[in-house]
Amino acid sequence: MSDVVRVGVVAEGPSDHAILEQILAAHFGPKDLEYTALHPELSVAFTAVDSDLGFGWGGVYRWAKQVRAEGGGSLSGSYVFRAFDALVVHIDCDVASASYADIGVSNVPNDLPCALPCPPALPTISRLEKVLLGWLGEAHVPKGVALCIPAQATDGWVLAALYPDDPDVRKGRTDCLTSPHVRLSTKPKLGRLVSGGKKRVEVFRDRASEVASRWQVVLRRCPSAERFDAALRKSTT
Amino acid sequence: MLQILTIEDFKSIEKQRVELGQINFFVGANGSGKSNLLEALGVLSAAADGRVDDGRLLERGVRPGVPSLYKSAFRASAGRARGGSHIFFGAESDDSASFEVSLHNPLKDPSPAWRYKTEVWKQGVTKIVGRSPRSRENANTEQGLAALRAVERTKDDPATRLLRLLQNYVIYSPVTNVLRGVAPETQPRSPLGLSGGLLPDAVAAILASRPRDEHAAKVCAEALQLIDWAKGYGYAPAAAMPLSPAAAASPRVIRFVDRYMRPGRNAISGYDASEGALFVLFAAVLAAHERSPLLFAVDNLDHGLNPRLAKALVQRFCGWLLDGSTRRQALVTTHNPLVLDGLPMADDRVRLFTVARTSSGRTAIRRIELTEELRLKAAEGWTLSRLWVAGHLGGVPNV
Repeated sequence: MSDVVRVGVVAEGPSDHAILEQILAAHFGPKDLEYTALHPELSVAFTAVDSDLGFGWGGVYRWAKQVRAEGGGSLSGSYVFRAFDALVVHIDCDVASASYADIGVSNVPNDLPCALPCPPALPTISRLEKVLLGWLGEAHVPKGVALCIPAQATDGWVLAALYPDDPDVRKGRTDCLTSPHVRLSTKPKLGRLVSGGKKRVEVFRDRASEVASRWQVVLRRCPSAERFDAALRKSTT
Repeated sequence: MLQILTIEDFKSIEKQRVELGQINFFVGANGSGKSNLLEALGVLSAAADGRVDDGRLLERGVRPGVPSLYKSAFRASAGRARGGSHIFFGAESDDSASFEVSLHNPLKDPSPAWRYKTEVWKQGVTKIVGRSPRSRENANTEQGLAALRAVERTKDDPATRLLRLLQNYVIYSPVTNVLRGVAPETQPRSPLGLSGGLLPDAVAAILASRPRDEHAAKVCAEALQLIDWAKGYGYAPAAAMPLSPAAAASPRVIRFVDRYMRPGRNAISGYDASEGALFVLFAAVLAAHERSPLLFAVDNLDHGLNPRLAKALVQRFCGWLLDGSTRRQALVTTHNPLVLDGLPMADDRVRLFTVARTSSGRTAIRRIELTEELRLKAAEGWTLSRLWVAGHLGGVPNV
C-alpha cells in the first residue's frame, strides 16, 4: 500500500457515509485516506416516490447483486474488489428484523428475518454477516473486505460518541436500542442530528469528526463497533 | 408562471408545444435543438419588449441570425406543407393570460428588425392587443404594440405580469473565465452577466441579505456544503488577495477559505478556485438574489462539474427555487447524465424533457414522466442517468 489508502464504501445512506469516512480516516491515520462512496447511487426522483428504493439496505442488496453478477458470481471476482485497497460494506443490524418482501424482492434465500433476542447483539450480527456474505456470493469475508454492521444502526454509535450521558449509553445498552435515530431527535437543539423525523446530513458531516475522535468510547460501549474495528484491522493486515 | 410555450417554424423547431413546470430540464444530443428552444423564448421575449433586432436578442443571450437561418427550411413531405414565411411564438400563463406573435423578415435584403405580422395579447378571452396584416395600427410594423400598451397599464393583472415575465427573460451561458473574472463579460446586467460576469458583486449581495432574508441565508449555507474543500466564502478587494499579476482581476473577487490549509495561507480567490465552486455560487445567486429574473434559462449548467457535484448542485438548485418565496422559473439544458439523478421529479413542478431530431431533422420535445414502468426499473436498481445513457429515455445521439 502507498501512503494513500483507497477505500471504497457501500453504505445504506449519506449520513452513514459521513460517519464512516471520519472513522476510517482515523483508523488509517497517519496514512491519508481516499474515500469513495460506491453506493448509494440513485435518482432523487425515485426516492421521493419510495424511500426504500435507493437509500437503505434494499439499495445495498441490489448493489451486491449487480457486483456479484459482474464478478462471475462473487464480489471477489469483480473489478471493484480489485480497484481498492479496502472495501467496506455496511448495513444496519436492524435489517435482521426485516424481510425481503419489504424491499419488493422475491425468489431469495430464506435467511431473513434472522434477529435473535438482544442483548446480546453479537449473535444477530453474526447471522447478518452470513446473510450479507450470501448477497456478495462469498462463503467467507475476502481479504481486504470489512463488513460493517452497527447495532441497531450507525446512529447507535453516534449516540454513544456524542451523548455519553444518555441513560442507555451509560448502561451499555446502545447496541440493543431500537431506532436510535429517534433518541437522537430528542437531544438538544444545538447540533441535533435528527429533526422532524429526518436525518440532517449536513449536521452528521459537521459532527462526524467528533464521533471519530471519541471512537474509543464507542468501542467500550458498543460491542458491534468493536467487532467492526477488529474486522477492519483484519482486512488490512 | 409561463405554462405553455408554442414555437413554429423557428430553426429546427417546426411545430412544438411545451407544457412547462417551474423547473424544466432539457437533455438531448448536441444539435438536437435544446438551445433553439431557449432562444425561441428569447425571441418571444424581445417581441414582448417591443422590438426584435440583433441588439435586443444579444442582450437576452440569443444568437442573432439572419432570416434564412431563423426560419425553418424543411422540405415539404407527405402530410406536411413547406414551412411558412414567418416564425411564430406563443406563451400562456397559468392564470389565463397569453401573448403570441408571428414575425416576418424577408430572406432577401432583410431588415435590421423583424416585423410583426400578427400580435395578440389576451387576458382570458379578452383581447388587449390584436394585430393582423390588415390592422390599422400597422404603421410601424417593427414596433410591438403590447409593449406600448403595457406602459399605459397601471394594474398588476395576469396579462401584464406575463408580459413583464417574458420581457425580463434571459439565457445565461456561464463561462469559466468570466466567472473567474479574468475574461470580460460581453453582456453585463444586474445581478449577473449572461456569461456569469459580476459574480463577486452578486455573491456579496446575497451574503449581505442573509440577516433579512431567511431563504438567502439557507441558499448561502447549502452552497458552502457543496464546496467540500472550503470552509467559507465571501468577497474581497482584488488587491487583498494573493493573485498573479497575469490575472486581469476585477476590482472585487470571490474569496474562499480552504479548509485544509493553515490560517494565513488559506485564502483562495475565484481565479484560483475550482470552477465547480464558481458554478455553485452562480446557481446560488440565480436562486437567491432579489433581482434575479423570474424567468430565465441556463444553457449547460453542468459545465465543468464533476458528475456527482452536478447531481448534488441540481438537487439543491431545485430545492432553492421551489422553496423561495419568490417563484422563479427556470429552463436548463444539460449533457451530464447524473443531473437527472438529482431531479426531484416526483414533484410535478420539476420536469424533464428529452429533445431529439427526427429522421427528417425536425426537433421533437417530449416530457419524461415518472410512470409505473420507470418506477419498476428503479426497483431493479436502474437510475434515470443510466436509463438515459442506455437510450431508454431517448434524447441520445445515434453515433
